[in-house]
Amino acid sequence: MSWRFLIARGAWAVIVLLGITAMTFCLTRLIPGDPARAAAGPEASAEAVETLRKSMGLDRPLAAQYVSYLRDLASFNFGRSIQTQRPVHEDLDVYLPATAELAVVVMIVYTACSIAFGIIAAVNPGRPGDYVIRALSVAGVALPSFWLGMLLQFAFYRQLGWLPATGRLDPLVSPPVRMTGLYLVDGVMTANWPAVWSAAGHLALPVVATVASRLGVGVKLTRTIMLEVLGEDYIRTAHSKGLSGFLVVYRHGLKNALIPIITTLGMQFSALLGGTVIVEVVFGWPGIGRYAVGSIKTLDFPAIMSVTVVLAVAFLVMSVLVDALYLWLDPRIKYQ
Amino acid sequence: MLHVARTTDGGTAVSVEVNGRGGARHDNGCRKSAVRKSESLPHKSRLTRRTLLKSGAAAAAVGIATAAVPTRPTSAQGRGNILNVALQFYAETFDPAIGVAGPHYRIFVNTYEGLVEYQRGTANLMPALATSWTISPDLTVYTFKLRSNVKFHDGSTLDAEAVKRSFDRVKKIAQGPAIFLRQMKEIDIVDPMTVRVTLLQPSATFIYGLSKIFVHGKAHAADADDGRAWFAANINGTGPFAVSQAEKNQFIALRRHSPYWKGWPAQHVDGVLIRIVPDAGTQKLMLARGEVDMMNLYSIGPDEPPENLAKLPGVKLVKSPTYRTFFYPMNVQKPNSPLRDKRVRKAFALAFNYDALRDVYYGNEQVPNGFLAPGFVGYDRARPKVGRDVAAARKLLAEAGYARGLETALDVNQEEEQGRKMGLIFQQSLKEIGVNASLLYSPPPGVFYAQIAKLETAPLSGPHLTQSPLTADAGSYIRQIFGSDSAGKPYNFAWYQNPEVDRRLDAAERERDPNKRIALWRQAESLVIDDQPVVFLAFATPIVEPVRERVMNYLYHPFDYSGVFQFYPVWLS
Repeated sequence: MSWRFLIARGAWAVIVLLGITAMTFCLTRLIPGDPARAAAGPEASAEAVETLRKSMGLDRPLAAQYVSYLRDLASFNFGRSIQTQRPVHEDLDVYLPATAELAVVVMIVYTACSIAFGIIAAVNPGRPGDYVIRALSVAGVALPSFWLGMLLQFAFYRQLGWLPATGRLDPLVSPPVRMTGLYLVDGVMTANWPAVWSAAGHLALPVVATVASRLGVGVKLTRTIMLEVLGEDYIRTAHSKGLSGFLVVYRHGLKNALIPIITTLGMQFSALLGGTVIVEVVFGWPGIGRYAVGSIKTLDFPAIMSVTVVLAVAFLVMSVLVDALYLWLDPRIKYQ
Repeated sequence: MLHVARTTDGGTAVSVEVNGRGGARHDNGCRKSAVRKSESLPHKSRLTRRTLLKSGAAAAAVGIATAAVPTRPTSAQGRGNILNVALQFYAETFDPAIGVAGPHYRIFVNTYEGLVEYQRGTANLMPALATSWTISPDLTVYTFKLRSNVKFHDGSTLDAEAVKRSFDRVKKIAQGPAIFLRQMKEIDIVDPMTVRVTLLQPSATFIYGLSKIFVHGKAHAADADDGRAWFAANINGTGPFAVSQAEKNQFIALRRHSPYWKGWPAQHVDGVLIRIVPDAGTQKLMLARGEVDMMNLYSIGPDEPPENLAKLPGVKLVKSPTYRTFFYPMNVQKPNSPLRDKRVRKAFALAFNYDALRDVYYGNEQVPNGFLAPGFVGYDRARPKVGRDVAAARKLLAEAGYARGLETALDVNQEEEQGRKMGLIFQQSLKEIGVNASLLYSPPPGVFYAQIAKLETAPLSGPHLTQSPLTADAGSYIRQIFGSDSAGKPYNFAWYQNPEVDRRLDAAERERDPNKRIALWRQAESLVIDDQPVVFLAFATPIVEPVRERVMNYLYHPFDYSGVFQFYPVWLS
């Protein structure tokens, strides 16, 4: 039953993906820019631009361009970047893991903090702990992440000198042998501890800046839902049959509160994969957000399209995963 | 104090003196902080955390034998003989037949060389990979003798075939750098150390652009894709530094090219570690902490007075002369625009509050007297400076039929600090002559170049430009901004077309006598000034750049883009 559901969701995702490619394709072609001109460079002659336009296939009808684009995509050929003249997948290979690593670590810290603080606030409603947690998490949302990032850099890099200000790894540390592209994972797998240590240090500030700017949402959501759940009859029953407070809150309360929390967090994770451009710029993180912005500025169509498609896939996969998690969390849920 | 003597190619010597704190500190900036104990050790025997890491674990291999030193980090806080630099962009391609923008040149000037080069800090043409050349009397054939025993980074030797392949590749790929070879018909090998370039038409100035045609090794140049894939990611030049390691958007490590033909006296650096740091604030923090010795975002767009940075312990300012001109184009052909009328354009120029530009360049600017900047070929010191005259501006506007003012729009590039501030100053200045200007922000370059190419979509005016010549050929420089063929293309944003200007520039190109050439360029410049297609805002010189005090002998080259550093002359105290 549930497998059939997942397959149906998968098929639906493919249709959505097709729609997204069609839309981005049309949009990028509608922008009043000339990618051949942009690619040839400001100094190129009109003939050079024309030659380039032909070689890029930009003189062919739009429909024909779209069909050949889809054909290439099906064989994982993302095309050649106008800017770098290199296959786009070579760029994605570098930038996507960097963003994924940041997003995964952010999500782990974010989920843990949201749930922990949310529960503490919910079991002590109206007490000082509740107020402090709520005030701090709202303050985090109110602080723009670039400003917080600069403050963190000033404190932990400039004044204290504990953490690096920028980059993903100390250039003087040899990067781990590439397996997943995630430095932390590759470093642990190859026992390259200097790289793991350096990667963790470089992650610290961007992770804190990103988490702090989102924590308010997670904490308030968890707190509200937990308060609601803790008021239910079955919680009173659990208390009355003599279970400890810890067991009541975690086994009976949290598990029932998780569904809406996971939906929200899942979608936030997809958004994070889109790259947090501001944090990437402030902390010099070589991620996909900076790559996307750079590509848009230079009208690097193949790169723009590829980033869009990759992110769309990530978003769709996440939403299917979230649905699958529901099934696991609450066996009563049945999909028609 | 820093004395820079330059000669134009006509031989007239101009001496420019740059006074001030930066120059003075440049010479004696040897104050050291206590942590740098290792610096008293002899040059080569310094074993510090960084050199150790560099030579061993990092595989950055900056010129020290890797086997000889242990690879475990030590706790010593020294920085070795490695120059640490923060740049805001990674060069998205390393191909010298494609790249013509700042991010490319930041790497090329340190790794590649042309047949000729310019003397440090000047417009004097010097031999580089060519030791001598002859020009045929009809100015159509250039013959170059090549320097012997010059090695590429891959160990191969410079010869005529390498030069021919490099030139042919630029011509065939026909992108950015091809502009410098547009007059070239063909290049032939005369003998293994001599090449002959034949031009399409006579040109006395062809040679000036050859400093920007970089010669690469023969390997991969004849690949099926013309070597595009290989050259995009690899560098094989004759320049002082070779790339030892590069991680996209993270860092580029350069090591000494030990057989470099200019040699390696003791004082040069062993290597350069370029970190990609896109944020100006982060670059400044790294400079303040001494993690980097030089940062380029301040050079590109200073966002606070340089004195603020000089207050940071261990940081000094370096002032270098430039040939930069800061100006604001006004579209002279846009249908139904008041700016088609020369009197309106002149009124705008007279209304501009030139004194307020102090907030843009913090006093490191000069009131201009035209287009060609002081020190550059053709600069005419006798030409009167521009100035503000609100009454005259009002009068001109009235004559043009706008006694009650007019509405217009100023396009500015919001990503450039100078442009944003200049826009506000311009808007305020125009208000005083009854002109109501709204500020519009230019779209990103890809979109903008398409807009400006058509008169219907081109903006009424703007955005601002800070232009600087790339070679000593003042004719090409004027032509790119005021030549009829460049209208609507970078950087003739004013759509200015005047056959008289073109005629002077054509005549200058065929003129053998350098002094007569300069006279023709000045005539062209006078015509432009009279037509006022742009407001000349400032000569943006000198450039002031913050560096760590240990950085010695750094000087910005006036033919480079802002934020391009040449590392070869630099040494660390």
